[in-house]
Amino acid sequence: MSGNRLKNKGLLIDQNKPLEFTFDGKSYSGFEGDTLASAMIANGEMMMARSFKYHRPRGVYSAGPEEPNALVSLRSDGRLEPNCTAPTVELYDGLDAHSQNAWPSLSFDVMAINQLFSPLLVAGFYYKTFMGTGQKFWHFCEHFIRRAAGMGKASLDADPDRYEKANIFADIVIIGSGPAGLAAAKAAAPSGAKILLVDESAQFGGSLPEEQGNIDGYDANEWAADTLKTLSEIDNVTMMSRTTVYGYFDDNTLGAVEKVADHKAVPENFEPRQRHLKIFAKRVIIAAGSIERPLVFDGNDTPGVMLANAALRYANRYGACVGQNVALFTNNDDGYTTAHQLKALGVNVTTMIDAREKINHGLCKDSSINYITGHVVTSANGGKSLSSIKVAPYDADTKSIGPQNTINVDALLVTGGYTPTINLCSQTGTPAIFNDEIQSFIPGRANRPWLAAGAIMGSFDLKASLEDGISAANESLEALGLPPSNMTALKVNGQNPVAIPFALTVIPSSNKSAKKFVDFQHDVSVNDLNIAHTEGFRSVEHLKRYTTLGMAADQGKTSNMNALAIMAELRGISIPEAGTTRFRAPYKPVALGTLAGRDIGNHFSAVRRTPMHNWHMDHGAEMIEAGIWYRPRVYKKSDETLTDAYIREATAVRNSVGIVDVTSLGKIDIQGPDAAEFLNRIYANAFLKVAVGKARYGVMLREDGYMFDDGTSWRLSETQFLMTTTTANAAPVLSQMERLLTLNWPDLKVHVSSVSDQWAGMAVAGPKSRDTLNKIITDVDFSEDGLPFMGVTDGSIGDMPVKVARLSFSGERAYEVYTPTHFGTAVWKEIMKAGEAFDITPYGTEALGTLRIEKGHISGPELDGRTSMADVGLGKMASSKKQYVGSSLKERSGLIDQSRQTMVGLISHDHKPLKAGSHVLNGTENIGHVTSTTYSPALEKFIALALIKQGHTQIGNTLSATFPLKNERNSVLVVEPHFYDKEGERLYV
Amino acid sequence: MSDQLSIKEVRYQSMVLIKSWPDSAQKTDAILAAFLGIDALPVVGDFISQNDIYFAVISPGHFMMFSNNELLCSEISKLFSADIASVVDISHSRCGISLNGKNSDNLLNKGIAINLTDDDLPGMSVLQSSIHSIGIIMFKLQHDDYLIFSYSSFFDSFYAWVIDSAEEYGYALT
Repeated sequence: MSGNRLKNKGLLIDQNKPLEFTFDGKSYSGFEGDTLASAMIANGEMMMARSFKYHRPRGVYSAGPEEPNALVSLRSDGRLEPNCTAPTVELYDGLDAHSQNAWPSLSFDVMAINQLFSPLLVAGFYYKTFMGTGQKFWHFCEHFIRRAAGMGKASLDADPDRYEKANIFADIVIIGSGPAGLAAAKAAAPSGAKILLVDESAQFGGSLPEEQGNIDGYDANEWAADTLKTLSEIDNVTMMSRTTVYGYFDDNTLGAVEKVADHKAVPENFEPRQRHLKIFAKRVIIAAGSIERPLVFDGNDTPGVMLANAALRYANRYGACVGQNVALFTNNDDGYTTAHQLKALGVNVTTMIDAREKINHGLCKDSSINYITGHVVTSANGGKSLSSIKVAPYDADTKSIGPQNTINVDALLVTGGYTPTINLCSQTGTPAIFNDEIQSFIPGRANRPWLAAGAIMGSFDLKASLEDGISAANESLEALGLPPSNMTALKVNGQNPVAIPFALTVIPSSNKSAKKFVDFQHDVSVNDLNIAHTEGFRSVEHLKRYTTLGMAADQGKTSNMNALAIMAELRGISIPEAGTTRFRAPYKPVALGTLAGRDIGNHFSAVRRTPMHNWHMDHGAEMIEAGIWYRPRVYKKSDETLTDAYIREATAVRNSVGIVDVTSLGKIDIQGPDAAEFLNRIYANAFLKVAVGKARYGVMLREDGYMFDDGTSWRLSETQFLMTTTTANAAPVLSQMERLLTLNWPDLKVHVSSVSDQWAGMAVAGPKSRDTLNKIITDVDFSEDGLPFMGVTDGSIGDMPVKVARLSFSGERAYEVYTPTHFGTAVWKEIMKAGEAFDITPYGTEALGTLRIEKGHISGPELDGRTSMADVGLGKMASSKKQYVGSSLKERSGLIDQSRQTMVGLISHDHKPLKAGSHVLNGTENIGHVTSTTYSPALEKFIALALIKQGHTQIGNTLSATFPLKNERNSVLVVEPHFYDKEGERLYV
Repeated sequence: MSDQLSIKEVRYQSMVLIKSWPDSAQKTDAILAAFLGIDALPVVGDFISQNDIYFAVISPGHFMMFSNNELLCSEISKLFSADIASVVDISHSRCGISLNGKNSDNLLNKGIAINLTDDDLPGMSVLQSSIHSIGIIMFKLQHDDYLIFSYSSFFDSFYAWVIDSAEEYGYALT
């Protein structure tokens, strides 16, 4: 042995390939194949962390994902990842690891002073101290408490690595590659079914490397290697190591994380660090194995105390020796096997303590070990590392101890039996059932297409586990309609004895201030459970929440069974009577980056761009998101403010001509013999008699009578309309129409299709709009008779077809020009060129808003889902001669109440801008709110639209518009909402 | 890298949606079969490709055709009166990519939760789904060979997603 490294030992490490790494800035060396935990152990460093609440020194406790103590942060800056379990961190050259929750250092942690206050910081401390009248005190203390408690800290820097996602499919997913999982895979593979074998470890094989039995004449580890080689050569088998299934969701969907490059300092180019997998499985075989159970005694969290099987794994797989003078404390036969295997590997196991009085003395076969039966370890002593243990005779009947002896050891290995890893099974909602023999819960009858096999079912002996796997494979194949495997039962010789634990709940202690931890990660002790019980939190659900037991990042993998046993004993009932809680996903923590995948940065969300997008960008447009569309807000010229720009743009439209991109408007093709009848039913105003070549403005209501959307519909032929909707409601309107046609009026021969992306749209507005278009659009008569207001016609610009509709949102003479999308930019450019003589001005949504507010036209802020047609001055448009969607309920009392808020215009008396959302006050009474605001170049005033109580009665009054968040208050004059050209004469200029 | 993953932007001159009424479904089928020169239309979820025309059956009575024949839409429109079927020109409404190579399934399965293996989705299948919250229609021509169309306004985002997703494998733009 060299230091704590067993020479020429370690199945997984290559002692010819040393690696350097740092922990808390100190350099260490390890070997390729090591984990961080094994390398630290090999370097003689047992203490790796401080506990969550009391800041007690903690060491590595396990060799797998169940690790409750050794949580570390890896890497730094953007790549920093907190709360990693050291036993699952694969070592690489240059690994930079840090301890957590300790200041200024792991060795000297100021907050360890919490241990002095531990009698106060018990279960329910927060509820008792800060709830009710303690709220103010909490606000004072919260900052300090949050700094003092907790796990690792996340980085504030962006993570530079990639995280990917994938959907994968399999006929049979096998979770776990121990004896049951491998046997299942081997049995199912020849069937041709698509098999996916996943294991969270870097290596397949589960517990087989520590198994002493022979399988079909092979050493267990050799059998595993041979089986893996066979499986790797079969096309329909996919094997994924470093892949943790963390959640079992509906429809046999599994959530998993593949650690693609976590074992590297930096991933290769474009290689993801981790990949989130959504696995769609026809059948699932859960062979997740079991976890060794701790024993509960005073000081059981002292660095140097760890699970026996973990110590064996460190020695066998990594050649890492957990101590120079090792004791092992057991309540089952498996502890003896472990001790003897450790001895064989060169670990100096000197003492075995067995709580059982009577054992098979054939187990005590190593004369160099001092076997002490009928005794328990009553305490583990030492601060930052174990120095000694106290051992005392144990009377199982009275659960009392006799005189204690001290034994000097530097490592104490404990085994309290094994707890099946039922987390995924539990997530499916299947109630767990209690197995008396193993003193633990196992999965109940599956409620979905899954089976559990192997140790998870309590099949701790190798032969049973292998047979379980084969059986599960055959049952799965049968369910898939495939013939069963011809694989026969495997011959097993010399297997490890089965761990049947002797019930040992809490080990008594003579120390009145004993700290016997049940949940290491959340610092929950036996004392906390006693308090919960005393205070009436006796249900397992209450116990869990009151003490937070099992609610840490490890989900209580090592603590739950002991806690249930303790609570059952306190209540004087059996463990199954006490019951268990349901596990929830994730089985292991999942990094937020993994869940986000590539939906970050530019890929955060899909966006929609109009065909003229690049032109806008090239011409200084400042873009704004309208839903997921990108639209020009303003085209700023040098030194212009946003306000300067939109005033200039709106003025240009009023004085000459402007052009705005309206591609984002929803566009729906409506076809069929009943198209007009259909529109007549969904619009509140009449549509039956709209002539071909004419458009009509229409308002749609919801069934409840409120306004839903507005827009124009153009009659292209007797049986075809082109409907436009607001940008925001394009999809909801189409959806509503499809629903009505499918469910309400299936007799109507109407088809609706989205053509929003088929057409690029631009509105050309202003007194020179006709002159501009007349220069380039052929086949269109732009005279008043040829193309009257609300007229629609087809034309062309060169070879490019256009539809021209004489519509106006601005109040000026205006035309909407639609052209097939791919011609959009070319047509836009042609119009810009034609308008040069009139100084044509492109304008954005700000000027668009200004122009429509001046005209009192409604838009999204007024169509807020709470307004009726009458509220916004459109009441007279609604037909009283027909039935349409919403026609009945728009007449209900609530919608015709004279005290309702109605739309008015506001003019700022103070010549100050008004803010949308401002409250409108009449004296001190809040009578409504401002919906849309702008500076009006036409009026040279700040104006707004508002919805106020009985608005029509307030015309001419002076009210206040207040915006408390900015402490603003403006005096406003209430006017009609039509600020500009109420008679509509500008449409014909 | 092209055998691994090849990406190409594709644009067809004409794309058309055809929808029949329930009482005119048979007549519509017959007209389309005659136009295509086939005895019977493919089943729902399948498509055929012949004479520079792709013809897909999206759902019962709902068809999609595309071609490099820019007159396709007008030719189809002439086949149907309004009481038989509706014809919608979507030639400018969709933009597409051709995606092929060994990693095409892997790339697509980053975004699509559909089993793309040949057993579950044989060649000449068509399906609608979404990638990165973008609605798509996908034509599987053969093993590892796809045509995928998104709405035009989403295409920049869709293409950016495809390229970003392809970085992991390496790709060729063709």
